[in-house]
Amino acid sequence: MPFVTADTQQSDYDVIVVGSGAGGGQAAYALCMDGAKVLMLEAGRHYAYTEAPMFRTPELAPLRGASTPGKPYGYFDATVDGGWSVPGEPYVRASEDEAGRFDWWRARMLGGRSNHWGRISLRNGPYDFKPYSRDGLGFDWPIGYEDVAPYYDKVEMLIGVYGTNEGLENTPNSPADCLLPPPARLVSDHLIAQRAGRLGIPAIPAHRAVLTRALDHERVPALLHPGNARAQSILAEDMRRRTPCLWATPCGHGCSIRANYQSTTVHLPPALMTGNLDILTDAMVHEVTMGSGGRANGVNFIDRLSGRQRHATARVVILAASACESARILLNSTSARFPQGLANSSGKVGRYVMDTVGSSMQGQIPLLENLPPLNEDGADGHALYVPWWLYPEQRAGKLGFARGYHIEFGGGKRMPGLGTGAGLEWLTGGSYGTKFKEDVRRYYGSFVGFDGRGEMIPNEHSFCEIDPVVKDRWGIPVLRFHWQWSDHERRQAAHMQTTFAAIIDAMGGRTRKGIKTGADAIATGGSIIHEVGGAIMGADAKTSVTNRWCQTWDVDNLFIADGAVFASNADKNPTLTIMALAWRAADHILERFKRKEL
Amino acid sequence: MDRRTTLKWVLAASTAGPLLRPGGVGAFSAAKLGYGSDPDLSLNYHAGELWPLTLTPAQRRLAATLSDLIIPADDRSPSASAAGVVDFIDEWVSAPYPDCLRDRGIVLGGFTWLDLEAGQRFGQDFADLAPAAQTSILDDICDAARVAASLRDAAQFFARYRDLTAGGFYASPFGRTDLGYIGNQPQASFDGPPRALLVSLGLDAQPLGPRVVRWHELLVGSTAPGLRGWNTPGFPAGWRVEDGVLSKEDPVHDLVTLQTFGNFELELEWKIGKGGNSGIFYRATRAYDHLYWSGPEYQILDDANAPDGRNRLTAAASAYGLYAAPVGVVRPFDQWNETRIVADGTHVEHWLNGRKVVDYELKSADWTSRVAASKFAAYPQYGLAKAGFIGLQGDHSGAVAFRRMRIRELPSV
Repeated sequence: MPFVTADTQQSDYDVIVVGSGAGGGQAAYALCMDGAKVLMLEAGRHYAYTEAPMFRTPELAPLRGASTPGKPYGYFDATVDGGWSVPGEPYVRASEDEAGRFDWWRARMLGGRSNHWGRISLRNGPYDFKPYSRDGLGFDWPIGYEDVAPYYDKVEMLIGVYGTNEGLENTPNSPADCLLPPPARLVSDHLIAQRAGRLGIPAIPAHRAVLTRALDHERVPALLHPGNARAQSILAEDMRRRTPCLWATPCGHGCSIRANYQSTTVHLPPALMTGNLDILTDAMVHEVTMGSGGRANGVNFIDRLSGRQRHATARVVILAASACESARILLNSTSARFPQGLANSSGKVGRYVMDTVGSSMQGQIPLLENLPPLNEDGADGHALYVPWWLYPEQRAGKLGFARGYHIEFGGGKRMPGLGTGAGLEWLTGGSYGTKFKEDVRRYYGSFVGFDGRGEMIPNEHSFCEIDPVVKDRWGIPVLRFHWQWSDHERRQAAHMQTTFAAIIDAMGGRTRKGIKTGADAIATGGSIIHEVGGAIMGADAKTSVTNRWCQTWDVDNLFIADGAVFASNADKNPTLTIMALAWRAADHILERFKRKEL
Repeated sequence: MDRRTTLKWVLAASTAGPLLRPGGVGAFSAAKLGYGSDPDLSLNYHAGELWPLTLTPAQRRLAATLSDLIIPADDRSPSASAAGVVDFIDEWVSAPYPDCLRDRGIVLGGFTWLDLEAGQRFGQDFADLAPAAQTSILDDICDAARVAASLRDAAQFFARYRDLTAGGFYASPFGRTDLGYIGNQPQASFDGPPRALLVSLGLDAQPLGPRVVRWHELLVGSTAPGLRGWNTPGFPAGWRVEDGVLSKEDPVHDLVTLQTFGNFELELEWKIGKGGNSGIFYRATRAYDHLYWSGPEYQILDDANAPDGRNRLTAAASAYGLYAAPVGVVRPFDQWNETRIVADGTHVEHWLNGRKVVDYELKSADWTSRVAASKFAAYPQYGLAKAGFIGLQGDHSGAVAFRRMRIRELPSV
């Protein structure tokens, strides 16, 4: 019985996994495929990928599909009960100052934020695990690229990632036959690649978790689960059920044909097929409970359907509730022995919260005006991207900021929406009537957008803690966020702006507002939704929360399998690394089970 | 109420209502706002179903007039009001969301101002004015960058109203048609823009690029790159290539591709002479002396006049001798037909003139039993190769011509 309730859950689970997103899904998948019995607790409701409103168009939605507080990424976005605010579950900002603002994106649904994400799947490179050794800032990870690389390989083969191997600095190649072919480029991709190339800025195929062709169900399962015939056959069967991209509809709507990665399309179906996974939704975990011998014995959760507090037990507990939510659970798990929260003898739980540095610019490109009708839906964007290309200049100290960024960009004749004819006065001189219709046709598809995604260095002023007053609707104390950028991030954002302007200029384009400076140039903390840190891994129990296996220093059978363990936040989008670390932690747990150590 | 007073009221109204900042400090209200955070995405909503519409008939009339001045009907698409924009605007300004509450003040204030202005200038409500009078007012407020200082607020109203009108119109089927949007349809493949378009934009040569699976043209000008004789070293006599058309009159040697193809998609057009018979083999090998003993055949035939046309199993587009093609799809002799063959693993499809006419699974029980009952039973390798040549049958009677022949490999599954 895969979906259980607070009443029908079992009492003899090997592992509890708190959270069902990329980290929790990956951990549960790896554990179940190898025979461990897992109870997964998800705070939100059940969600089936078949709910995805793939082809639905804006006129079928309220307000033409506009963004609202209940649906911040638009009506058809896959997110359920989430966004910048979750009903009844507030959080607090320590400062009213905009520069100290942190926005927290959550989702209350099976699969969590993995249903919504951009599917950009970049590996951290060797530099990214040893940043302190390179420039004396932040922290080194206790592991290196070589430790994680086999798990990057496995995750890419499991979920399906398109891209190519270009051999660029700190931008690792994948093994042969690991990546799927990238999609064709749009006209705007060709133009950006050409003009950025003239500036020495390389545009190469992006890596995204979208099936551009079927996965190799005859070859991959044996590579992922050697010696495990049952796991191989389950995975082969499930891989056959995934359909390659049909080159239409936004990935953010969710994917009912399972062409892109969501925990709900990739991790949970085969894990459920093993019979080893029980899933309990509407279970708001707020505390890890301790048994004898300093070991965790389960979790307390609110059954949201009844409002009552319940308990679940297991031999091992994995927190994968999202970086800050996992920190919140630890900080709320107080006892006489752990007055400042569980696994927090270092005082580092909640510390070093990081997001990605974001900055954006849009350009209007005359060369792209009045193109013939083209179907440019593609794989929903990002055929190409620009990896960080100024390592030598940065090493030589020429840039004034310590870490790099990559550029995501896009254009094309995408589905017209609420914004299509809006805000064109700077181009049209305020036309209306027949002239306005002609203007909209002329400019439709002629815009390109650039988004910088840069590395933030962890600092002492960006952290979360338990607010002493505010509680959520369940009575659970909520988080209070402190946030501060350093000059490294601000200068990096300014550099993004000048780079974007240079590329747009090289394309013969123009911008409406020009280069943004100062605080305007950098996106609000948290708004890129790459929240990591808060329970960082390290080599020393005094300065970190977990060891190299995502195992908390203080509690032997308590692990963290989400972004909380990140000791740095490279410009590479974190999800692929979250999955690689979660799989690695799961393998470690299985090994310890075999040795009867857990 | 004079204009200044009106606009003060506009501004006051625009800041009324709760201002919800995302993730605001303190508690975000748990009360369900609008449609909440988990609406049923499968339902088709109509304006007025979730919250009552609030514009009066007079306001809706003005809204329609103004929207249609912004987006009038033309030969490509209807006017804004005909595309449902008035309902959308009424829904928008009646909604409980912060942006909508702000816009409600701007829009209603603007409506009041427009009628006052029309009354002052022409003694009538705006909607009753002649078009020239209406545009004389709009011309004064349509561009915030060059508007008179006294009309700045009115210009902001008009800019917002134009954005709402455009949003309502372009986020509708009429708007998508107007802009020539052709996406949101499932596609078998995504090939990117036509090469000719890229060339015209100076974007043909790219130093770095995705390694996409590309089409290979098999007939280019007066050459047939990639084709050779089946059992002759060069290009066999009797075949001609002119202007991209490959043709022959009398029995000649068969042609095969230089490369072998496993999973592929082949497209071409063909024209058969009266009573003629030809064919396209695929995954053919050199296991036997004849292509057709190893490679399945897409039959090419003048159904009306060739003997094989009397049996659907051997008629045009059939999988020769095994799977029948329906009647009535092929065109008469001397007319061009469009053919597409997809072979993906064991799955094979024959297409003719835009229709899938044959669809079968190699090595399936059904296929095996059909082979056993056919003349191919004598050739144990028939149809079993995972990859092989594409062949064009030349040794049968009658004229045949091919053009627009291209092939691309499909990823191996």
